[in-house]
Amino acid sequence: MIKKTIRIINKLGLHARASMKLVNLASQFDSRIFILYKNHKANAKSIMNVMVLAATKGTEIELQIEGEDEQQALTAIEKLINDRFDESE
Amino acid sequence: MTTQMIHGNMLVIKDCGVLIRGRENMGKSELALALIDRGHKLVCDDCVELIVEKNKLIGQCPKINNQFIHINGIGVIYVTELFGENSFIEKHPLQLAITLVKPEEMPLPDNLLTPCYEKLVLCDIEIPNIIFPAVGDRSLPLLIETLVRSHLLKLAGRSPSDLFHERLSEMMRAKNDKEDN
Repeated sequence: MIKKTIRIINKLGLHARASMKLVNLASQFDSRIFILYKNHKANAKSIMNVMVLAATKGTEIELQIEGEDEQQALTAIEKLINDRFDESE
Repeated sequence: MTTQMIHGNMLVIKDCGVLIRGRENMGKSELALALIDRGHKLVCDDCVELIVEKNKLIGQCPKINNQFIHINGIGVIYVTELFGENSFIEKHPLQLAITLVKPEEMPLPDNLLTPCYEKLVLCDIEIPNIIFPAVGDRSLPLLIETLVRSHLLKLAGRSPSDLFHERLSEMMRAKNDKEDN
């Protein structure tokens, strides 16, 4: 299993559209992918799980990924978050 | 008056005329039967006759299979005899299409909070067409009834996904404000 803490940097945070992008991306991997935030542990392939986190800009989340493609999954998700979910700000 | 025949099953679900489309063996007739069993009305099984009246798209049933459904293994079912007069309606405006597809044929979802809406033009009239993944072990009758009710809620100005977005935005705003102070 690999773990990494990442900061949410897009202005709107993990709002609905960003959450959907994350879930769609996570679902492409076989690994089990979790997002830890405060006392929540969300399954990154479940839209409700991810949206209920309501993680705003500036918050830090921890990704926990386990599976054969964990490294690829981490790289892809980290890129999505750092690219601000392809949003302009 | 021109009529057009279309392959599919038409039902009236909560006063909404719904055309259920999909390839053969997707279980359209069985779904229609289950929806009748849930109290909805059959317009036509398998080959719906479309007409336009006062610029409205209307679906009706050819005389020959009027009130009948065909199910493999049972044969023809006389719907009104088995489910009562209220299980059938002669004709009804057609307002919505639902196309059943295999999950692997679903377009990539760009919005997970709403159904996959496309458009369908029949007799030069455009109606919404929801593409729906029909997986074998899903409870289709319940899902299709819920899909139609949710669609009607949206038409009534209370889109469930909009209401959800509002709630989420509100909570995230409140969180931001709290952190700013």
